[in-house]
Amino acid sequence: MKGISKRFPLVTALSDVSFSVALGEVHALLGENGAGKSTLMNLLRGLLQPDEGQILLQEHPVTIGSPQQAAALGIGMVHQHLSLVGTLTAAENVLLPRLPFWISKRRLQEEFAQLRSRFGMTVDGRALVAELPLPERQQVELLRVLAPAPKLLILDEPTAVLTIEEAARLALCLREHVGGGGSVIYISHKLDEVLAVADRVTVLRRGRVVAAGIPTQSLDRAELAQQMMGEQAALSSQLQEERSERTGIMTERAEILVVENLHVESDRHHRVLRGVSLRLRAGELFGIAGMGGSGQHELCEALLGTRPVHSGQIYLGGVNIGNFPTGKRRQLGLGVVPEDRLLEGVAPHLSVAENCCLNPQLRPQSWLSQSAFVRKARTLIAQVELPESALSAPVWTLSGGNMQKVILARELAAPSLRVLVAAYPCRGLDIGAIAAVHCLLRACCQCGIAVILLSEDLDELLSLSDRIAVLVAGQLHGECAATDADRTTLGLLLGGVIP
Amino acid sequence: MSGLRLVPRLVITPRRQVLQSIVALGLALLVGAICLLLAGLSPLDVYLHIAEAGLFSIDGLADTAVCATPILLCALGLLLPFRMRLWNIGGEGQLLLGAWAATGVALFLPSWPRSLLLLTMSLAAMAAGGLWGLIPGVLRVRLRTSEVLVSLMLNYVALAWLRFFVFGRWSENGFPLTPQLVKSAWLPRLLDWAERFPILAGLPSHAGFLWALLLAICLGVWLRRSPVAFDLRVIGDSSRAAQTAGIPVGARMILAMTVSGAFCGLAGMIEVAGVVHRLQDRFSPGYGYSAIIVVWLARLSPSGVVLVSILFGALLVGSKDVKPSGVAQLLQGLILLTVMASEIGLRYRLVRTLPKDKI
Amino acid sequence: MAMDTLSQLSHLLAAGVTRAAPLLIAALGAITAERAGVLNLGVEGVMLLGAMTGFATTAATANPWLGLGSALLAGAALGLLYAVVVVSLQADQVVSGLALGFVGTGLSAVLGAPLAAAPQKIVELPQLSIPFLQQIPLLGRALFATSVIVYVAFILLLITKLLDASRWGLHITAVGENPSAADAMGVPVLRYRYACTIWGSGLAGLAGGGLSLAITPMWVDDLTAGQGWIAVGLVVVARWRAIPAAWIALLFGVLRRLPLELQGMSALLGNPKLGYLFEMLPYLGTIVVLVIRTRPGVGKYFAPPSALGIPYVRGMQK
Repeated sequence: MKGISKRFPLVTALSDVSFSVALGEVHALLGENGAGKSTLMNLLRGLLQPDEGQILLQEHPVTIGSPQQAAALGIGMVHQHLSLVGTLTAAENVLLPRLPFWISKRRLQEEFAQLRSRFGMTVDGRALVAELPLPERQQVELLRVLAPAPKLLILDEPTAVLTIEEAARLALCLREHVGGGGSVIYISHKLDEVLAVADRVTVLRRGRVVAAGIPTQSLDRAELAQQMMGEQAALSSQLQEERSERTGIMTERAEILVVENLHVESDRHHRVLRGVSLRLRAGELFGIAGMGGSGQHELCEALLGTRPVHSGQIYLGGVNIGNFPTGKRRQLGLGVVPEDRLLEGVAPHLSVAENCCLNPQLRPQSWLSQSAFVRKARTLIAQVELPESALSAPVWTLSGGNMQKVILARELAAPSLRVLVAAYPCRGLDIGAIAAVHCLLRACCQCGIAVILLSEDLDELLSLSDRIAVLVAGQLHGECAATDADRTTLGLLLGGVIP
Repeated sequence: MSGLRLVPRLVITPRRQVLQSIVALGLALLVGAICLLLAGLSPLDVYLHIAEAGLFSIDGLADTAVCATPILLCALGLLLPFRMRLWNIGGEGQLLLGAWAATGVALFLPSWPRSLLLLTMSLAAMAAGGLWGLIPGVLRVRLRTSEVLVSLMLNYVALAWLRFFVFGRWSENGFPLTPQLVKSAWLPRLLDWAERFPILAGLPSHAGFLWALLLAICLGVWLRRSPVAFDLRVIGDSSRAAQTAGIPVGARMILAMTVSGAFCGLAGMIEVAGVVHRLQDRFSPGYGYSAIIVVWLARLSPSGVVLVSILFGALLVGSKDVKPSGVAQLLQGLILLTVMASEIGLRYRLVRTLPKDKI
Repeated sequence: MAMDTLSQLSHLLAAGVTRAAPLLIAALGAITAERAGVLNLGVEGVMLLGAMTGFATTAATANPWLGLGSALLAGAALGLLYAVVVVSLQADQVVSGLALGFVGTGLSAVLGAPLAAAPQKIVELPQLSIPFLQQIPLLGRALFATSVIVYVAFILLLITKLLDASRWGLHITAVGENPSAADAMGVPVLRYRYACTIWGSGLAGLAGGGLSLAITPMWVDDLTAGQGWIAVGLVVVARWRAIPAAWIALLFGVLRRLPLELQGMSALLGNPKLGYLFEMLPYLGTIVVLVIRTRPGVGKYFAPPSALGIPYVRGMQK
C-alpha cells in the first residue's frame, strides 16, 4: 500500500500511509483504538475506497471494489465482528462459498474434518454457530477464511476473545498458513501478543505510520509502546498513592448498591449470570473486567431493569429494586452508560438537545418546546466541553466521542444519581475522548457517586478502579483492591482460566 | 472506481421533502396512466374529471370535505402509533365498530336531546374503536404478537360483526341496513340552512369536518408540546434507547394504539351521524386503509395529514363515477409506493466519483 | 349415524384441503422471501391480481393452465416491482408492502372491472383422481380425488423442502440471517433477495389464480377476503418452516370452510343470521393461533430471520 489517505466527513482517518507485506511473513499492525487500523483494513477488504494513493498486489496496482473482488484477489479477512451465520452449522459456515448444488451432510462433515485437522482446530462441525462459545466461533471464522487458501490473510484483533491456549493454537495455525506461502497481516494493540507471532511490525498512530516494518527481533519494546501511545505515559506513581489513600477512606462510606446472588437468563434461556454478588460504597469505582459475552450485557440489563431477574436481589440505597421498572430505578438514582451507544444510548435522528433530555426525569418542566430543550441542554453540555453549535444537529452525525459525551452529560445531570453503570464507555473512541471520559468518571467518584465500570481493557481498569473483579462465565472472580491486583492472575482469569 | 455513489445526507430540509413528494406524485400519476391505458381508459380524461369533480366546483368541494372527514380523523389517530413505528392497520375495523356503537346508541336512546345524544354517540364510538385498538396493542406489548396481523384480522372480525347486525338484528325489512336514525342524531349540515341562504342548497358538508380540523390542531399542539408525545418520538426513533432512558415503552404503545382506535371509532360515528344517517353494509369505501397512506404521505405531520386528507377526499369524490371503481385505490397505492421508493433520495444523495484507478 | 359423521368429516376435510392449497402456496412463497430477509405484506393484493389475471386469461383462452401460468407471471411482475423498491431502493418494507397490497388490489379492480360486470362461467382447473388411493377412508377423497391446485401445492411444498438441502437454500438462510456475512462469503445478497422476492410474489399470484380457477371460480372485487393476510400470519405461526406451514394451512383451510358447514347449524339454532358471526372464525382462529405460537418463551428456535425487513447496504455494520 502506498500513500493511502482516507477522509470521512468529520475526521481524516488515514493520511499518507504506506506499508508492505512480504510473501511468507506475519506482519503486525499495531495501534491504539482509533489509530486507523480498521479503516486501513476495510480498504484492503474492498469495503472502502481510498481518497488518495493506491494498493499494489504483487507489484500490480489493483482496485478492490467489493469483498468479492478482495476474495478473488486472494485476500481473506477475520474481522473483529465475526461474519458468521448463526442459524447454520459450523461446517456449513466454513464451506458455504464452495458448496455443491445438492448437499450431502456426510460429505460436508468429512470435508470440514479434513480442514479442521489441517489447521489443528477442535470445533464441532455439526454445532449451530449461534450456540458455540465465542472462542470456538472464532475458530470457525478462521477456518472459513483459511479454507480457500488466501494469499493474504488479515486478522483484526484476533485474540480479543481467545484464551491463552487458543491464542497459542492460533499462532501455530498462522505458521502453517505462512509455511504454505501465504502472508498475514495481524492487527492488534497488544504488544506481547504481536511479539509472539509477528515477523515485522508497523505502528500507526492517529492515521499516520510512526514506525514502519521493524523486525521483531531488533525491537525496543518501551520505545514502541511510547510511539503507539503518543505522549500519554503510563500510570504515574503519584496517582497510585492518591488511590491507596482513597481506599482507606472508602471503607467508612455507606454501601449504596448491593447485589446478592443474581441469576439472569439470556434471550435463549441460557443461564448467563450465575450467582453474581457485589457491594458498592458511595464514591467507589468498581471495575469489572472480562470479555464481552460472558454475562456483561445481561448484568447491565438486569441492573437497569430491561431484563427480568431470575433470582437474587438488587438493593439500591437499601431498597430492593429487583422488580422495579427502569424509570423508577432511575428516579432512585441509577444511571447507565450503555454498551451500544448508537442503539441504546441515543435516539439517533433526534437532535443533541433533545437527546440531552431523553430521560423523563430530565425533561424541561411542563410543556416542551425546542427552545426549552436547548436551554436545558446548554447547561448540560457545558460540563463536557461540547460546542454549543452542535445542539441542533441530529446525534448520529456526531463522532463516537462526542456522542458518548452527550450520554455522559445526560446521565450525570440526573439530580438523584447515586450509582452509574458504565459499560465499555471508551470502546472505539479516540485518545482525546477516552481521556475526557476517564476524567468524567473520576469526577463522578469524587462527588460520591458509585461507579461500576465494565471494560475489556485491563490497563484502563487498573488505572481507574478502587476494586476490581473479573466476570467470567457468569460469575465474578478474583475480587481485590486495584492496588493489590496481580496482572498475571487477572490476565489468566480474563483468558478464562478459573482457578 | 468511477460512476455514481450514494452518500448519506446529514440534514433533510422540509423543502426537499415537499419536492420529493411532488416528484413521487408525478411518477405515480404516470404509472397510473399506463395502468388506465391498459384498462382501455383515457388517463387524461380520468385525471381531469377527478380534479374537476373533486376540487374545482362548489359541490365538489363540499363533497370532498365530507369524504375527507373520516380519512382525516383516522389518519390523525394512526399518526400516533406510526410515530413509534407501531403499525395499526386496523383503522377500518375500528371505524366500523365505532359506527356500530354510535348507531346502537342512536337506535336505543332516540328520545335524548340532540347535544347529549351526539356526545354519547361519540363517546360510545370512541370506546368501541379504542377497545379494538387496545387489543392488538396489549397483545403486542404483553405477548409480542405482531400488531400488523392482529389489527388487520380484527378488521374482518369487525366487518362480520357489523354485518351480523345490519343483516340480522337491526335490519330494516330484511334489507342490509338499519332504519334511519332520528333527526337528533344527525350532525348539522350546510344544507340545513338552505332556506335562509339558498346558495347552500344541496351541500352535504357537515360539522364533522370542523370537529376534525379542530382535533387536528389540538393534536398538532399536543404532539409538539407534550412530554408523552416526546416519548412517542423517542420510541419511534429507537425503542431500545427509550427503554434505557426509563420511558415506559409498553404503556406508551398501548396508549397510542388505544387513542388511535378511538379516533378511528369517532370517524365511524361521524360518518353515520353526518352522512349515511344509518348503518349499512359497505358504507365505508376503505377510509381506514386510505388513512394509512395519508399518514405516510404527510410524513407523520398533523398539518400534512390535513392537506393530504383533503386531496384524498377529492380523489375519492372525483373517482366516484369513474368506472371501473378501483381507480382511486390503485392511484393511492401507486402514490404510496412511489413515495416509499423515492425515500432513498431523501436519505442519500448521488455523488459522481471520479475515475482514479486508471493511472 | 357413525357412517354419516365419517362422511361428513371426510367431506369437511376434502373441502378444507382444497381451501388450504392456495393458503399454503402463498405461505410457501412468503416463507422463501422472508427467509431471504424480505418481508412482503402485500401478499393480499398480489393474490388478488393473480386471481384476476388467471380468471381473465382463462376466460379469454378457455385454458385454465394458461390462466394459472399468467397468474404466476402477474405475481412475479409485482414482485419485481416490489424488489426494486425494497431491495434496491431500500424502502421501509412494512409500509412499502402495504402500498404494494393497495396497488395489487386497485389494479385487479381496475383491470377486472369488465369481468366483474358480466359474470361468466369459465373452464375450471380439472379434478384429478388417483385410482385405489382415493378410496382410502377419510383421507382418500381429500388427498387423491381433488383439484389439481392441491397437487400443485404438494409439489411446491416438496420444492421448498428440497431447497433446504441445496446450496441455494443455505445461501438464502445466510442472506436472511446475516447478509454482511453472506456477502463476505461471496454470496450475491441482492441477487438472492431479488430472486426470492419475485418467487415469493409469483407464488402469491399463483395462489390467487388457484382461488379463482378452482375454489371460487369467478371474479369479484376483493375475492380473497383476507386470505393473503392469513398466509402472512401463517408464516409466522409456522416459524418459517415449510412442513408446519402445511399443517397450519390445513387448519386454516378447515376454519375457512367451517362457516359454510355451520350455516346449517345456525338455522337449527333458530337464527340463520348467526352465520355472519361464524364468518369471524378464520380470522379469530388466526389471531388465537398467532398469539399461542408466538408468545415469548415458546419453542427453542422461535426467531424470525435476523435480517428480516432490514435492507442490506454494503459496508454498514449492524
